[in-house]
Amino acid sequence: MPNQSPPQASPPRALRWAVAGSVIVMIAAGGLFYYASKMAAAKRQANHDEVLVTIHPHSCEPNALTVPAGRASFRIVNRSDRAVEWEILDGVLVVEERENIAPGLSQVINANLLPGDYAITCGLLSNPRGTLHVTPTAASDAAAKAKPSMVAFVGPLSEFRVYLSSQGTALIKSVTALEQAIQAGDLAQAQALYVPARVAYQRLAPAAQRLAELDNRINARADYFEKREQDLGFSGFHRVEYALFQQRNLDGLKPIAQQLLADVTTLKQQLLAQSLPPEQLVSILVRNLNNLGDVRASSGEEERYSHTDLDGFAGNLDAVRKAVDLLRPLLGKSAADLLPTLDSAVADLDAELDRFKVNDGYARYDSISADQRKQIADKAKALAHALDAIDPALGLSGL
Amino acid sequence: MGMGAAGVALAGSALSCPAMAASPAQVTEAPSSDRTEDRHDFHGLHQSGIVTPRPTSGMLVSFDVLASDREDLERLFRTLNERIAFLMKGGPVPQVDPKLPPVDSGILGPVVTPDNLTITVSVGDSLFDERFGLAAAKPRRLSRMVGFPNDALEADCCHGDLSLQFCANTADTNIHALRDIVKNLPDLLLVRWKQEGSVPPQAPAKPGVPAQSARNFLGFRDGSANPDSNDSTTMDRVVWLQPGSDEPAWAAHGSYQAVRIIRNLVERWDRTPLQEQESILGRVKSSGAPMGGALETEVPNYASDPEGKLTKLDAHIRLANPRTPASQANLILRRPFNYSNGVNKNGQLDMGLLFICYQADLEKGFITVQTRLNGEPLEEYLKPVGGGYFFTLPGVTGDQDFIGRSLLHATQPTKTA
Amino acid sequence: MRKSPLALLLTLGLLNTPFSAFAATAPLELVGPISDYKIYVSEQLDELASHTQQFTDAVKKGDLATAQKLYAPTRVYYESIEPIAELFSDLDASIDSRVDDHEKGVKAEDFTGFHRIEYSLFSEKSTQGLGELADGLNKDVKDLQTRVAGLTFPPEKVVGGAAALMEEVAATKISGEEDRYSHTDLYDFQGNIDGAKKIVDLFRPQIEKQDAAFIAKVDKNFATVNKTLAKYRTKDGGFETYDKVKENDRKALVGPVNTLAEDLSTLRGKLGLN
Repeated sequence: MPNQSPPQASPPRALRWAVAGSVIVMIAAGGLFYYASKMAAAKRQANHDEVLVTIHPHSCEPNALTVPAGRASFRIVNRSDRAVEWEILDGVLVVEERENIAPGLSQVINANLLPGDYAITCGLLSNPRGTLHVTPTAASDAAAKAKPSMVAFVGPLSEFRVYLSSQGTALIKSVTALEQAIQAGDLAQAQALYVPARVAYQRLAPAAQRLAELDNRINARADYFEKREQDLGFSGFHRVEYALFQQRNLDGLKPIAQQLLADVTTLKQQLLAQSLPPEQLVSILVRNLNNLGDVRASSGEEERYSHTDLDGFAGNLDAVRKAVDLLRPLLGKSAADLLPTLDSAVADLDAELDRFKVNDGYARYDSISADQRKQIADKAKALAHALDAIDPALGLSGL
Repeated sequence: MGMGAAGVALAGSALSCPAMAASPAQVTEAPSSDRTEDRHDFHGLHQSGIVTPRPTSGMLVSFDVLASDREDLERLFRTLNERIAFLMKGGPVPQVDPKLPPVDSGILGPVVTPDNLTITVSVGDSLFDERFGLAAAKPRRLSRMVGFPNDALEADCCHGDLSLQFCANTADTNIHALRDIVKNLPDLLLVRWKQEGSVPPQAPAKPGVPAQSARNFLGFRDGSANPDSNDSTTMDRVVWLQPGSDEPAWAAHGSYQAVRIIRNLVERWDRTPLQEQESILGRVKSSGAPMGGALETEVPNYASDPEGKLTKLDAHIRLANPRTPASQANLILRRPFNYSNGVNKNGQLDMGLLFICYQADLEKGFITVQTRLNGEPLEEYLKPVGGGYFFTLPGVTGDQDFIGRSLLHATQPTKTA
Repeated sequence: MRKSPLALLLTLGLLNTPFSAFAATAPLELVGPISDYKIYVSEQLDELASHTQQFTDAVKKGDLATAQKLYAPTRVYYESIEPIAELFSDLDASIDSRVDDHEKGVKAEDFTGFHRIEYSLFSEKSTQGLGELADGLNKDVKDLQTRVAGLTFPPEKVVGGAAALMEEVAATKISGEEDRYSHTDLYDFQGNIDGAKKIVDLFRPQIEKQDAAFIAKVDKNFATVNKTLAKYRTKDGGFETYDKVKENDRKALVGPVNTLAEDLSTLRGKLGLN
């Protein structure tokens, strides 16, 4: 409250009222503060599940806890002489933690726990760990689609990274062959080698598209550039495609091809260097398929010179199939009802594309009617929709 | 430093035990034992050394029989009978003219003490070949051991015409008995291979507390699931051939003996996390209890653990005995000893399990159980190198009987039908 | 004076490490090393396949000298990834079993693979009648490639593979009984060591986080082993035969090998794996 200026010739009654009023306000404020802190204390005391854990210099007490599944509160009191952290561990995964609990003070940690056995740390790393046994409740049993822990994803994610590595190698190999044909001035050969290189890219596309700048250099279409096909910045696959299938000559293409080779080499490195968490593994596929369904299927814009869009779609589907197969064991255990939908959506899109197979490749996209394009789009969107259900079912975003 | 000072020093240390503080023994004084007069009856419906509780020392010796005809074979059996009867009873050694070699090795002194000795006689598949006319009487399931996938059998440590299982409180008693038999049968027996072993003793169990199985060299209690050897009904079903079975009549009250010398890769085992050791075996190491249990005597409940979350599906004990109604037909009586031989060229210790088991049906017993175990995770740490299958002869019922008599009688050439 | 059990244990030096609670390794941190390891194994298997093709071609052509020359350098690619190969025990047996694993010894019908061919090449000194065995070996190696490609590598098997490789060395390479006809054990020895070190190198950042002193000790022991083995290199990058190894060098290898086996057996625990 600001200092009152020494009373001037102000009406004494108003001043008295002002003082009285401020006193009332102060009492009211004090009352509110008292009320609020009482509520907080009451809240604390009313929380019967609050488990008290005291950390001593060389142990914690109690060091064997049992709580029912669901929300639990742990009040950690630090009675040692240094700041400590407290963690709940599920295997290798930290479920909940609080760092820097100062000596002599306490902190409350809230955790939402699934049934099982966990370890708890007790201050110093050299102190023996305690155990936390979380018992199932009716509620946790009801939600008993046992959600896989993060450890279960290490296998599938590792395998997908191996897939990215081997597809990356294949991409580099096929672009090398394409570049060599261009260096040799062999238009027909280069045209033939364009498709396998493109398919190799499409098998990686869902992951590559996370790397915005690099992917633009490799995959950008002419419409992204001000001067479109004439723009000096237009490069990558589609610049090569334009030369091979529209201009039908190799003029000025050598440096473009060399740059493309350098870029896909960098792409492989970058794909391996980026870590891919489980929820992204699925979401990149969903994005790619939605893009196929919403944009590429109807427009035929992706391969507007070579009309090899269907080959590319098949490449995208290969990536989806790979990821689904890698997640199959987890899905089987924790979301088995999703598998039939997923498998049939994959099979549907596969069958749809197969209808347009010609020998070892596919029909030109400019021969595919608008109705047929819609069929493809619908199947792609259905598959995206089926994939979308994986995240909530496996709780990927919550890991 | 005299004896007195040494005694004081011992008494003063935190690790002294009260008994040592009395007058300490001389360096070469024989350790004392009040169990040298423990003895078992040689005579009985069954041989001893099968349901007999194991003493600390065991030895299995396999022989080639050098007898050339049935007469020799009978002499072999009668001599064995005489020697075994004496050794298991004990008694003074006959004195002979000192110009002659002594008749006894003298290891146990002028009076042989039984020291809990049992000697069990078994015969191998090869004895029933063309030499002695025994072929028609061969027990139906007796066969020559065939290697299992993880085996690395060394011919020198396998098979045999005849096996003798020696068990006693001390290794020396077993050795004394072996040397006695070898000396008495120079023209009839040739030692083929032998393996000694031991089991670690414990303090006697407190009254009311069930006794615990001895540990093997993996550090685990061995034989927790053994059938009750004191229950004669169970033994008649699991171990002893019964009269009236489909086996030859002479073989009744005998049993099949499977011997396996199983090397344990102990350095590797000792580098394996405890959690993994327990998961491979299927038991808690310290107590011998099944996973999640507290006492060795508890029986695992596999029915409530169909996915093997508690006891893994490929855990040793679960594969060996899945405890289904059907697997009740595959029970065996384990009676193994731990062996420790030497060191191999890699500087690793050669030690392991002298596995011996008895059963009424070799095929339904050991062979079925081992087949179930093929490919188990424990195999990383085991290498079976020797052993063989034998038939343990029926017991010697009295002074008119002798070991092997019923087999010879059943195959007498003049016998009709 | 009655000592507490803990104090007594400390006095008796029975506690080598404190009761350590290893801080958790985040699972996502394992993805990189595990996939890098699978890539490494696939590359090794590619080399094994192409070298085995050359080796068996020489055998079938009857070119004894070339076959003998190619035997050991081919095997190195198998020995470096042995823990993964062992996951397929039938293939491990048909590719790499030794004569003692078979009761009938060299005559055993199911004694196939490298060492059976080794017996003919180096003991019988002949390539006669090896056609079927050569074809079988090629087929098995390709089969192994296919199976490994389809296998999701379990993290604990990858990390535990380092210890498993050291157990191989300790149990069979120290005595020179792996390649008893050709005495080319040092090649296999180096293969096992390289394979174990590869795993340690891939997980180095995670291990260092848990225990930097441990990693330094492991590195030192690998260096000692490699230095001793290097003494027996030949001019063409191969190795002398095992009988050339001096007794004091054999002993110099045993200590570091056994210590690496002990140390690497704690790797899974340090990374919080089962």
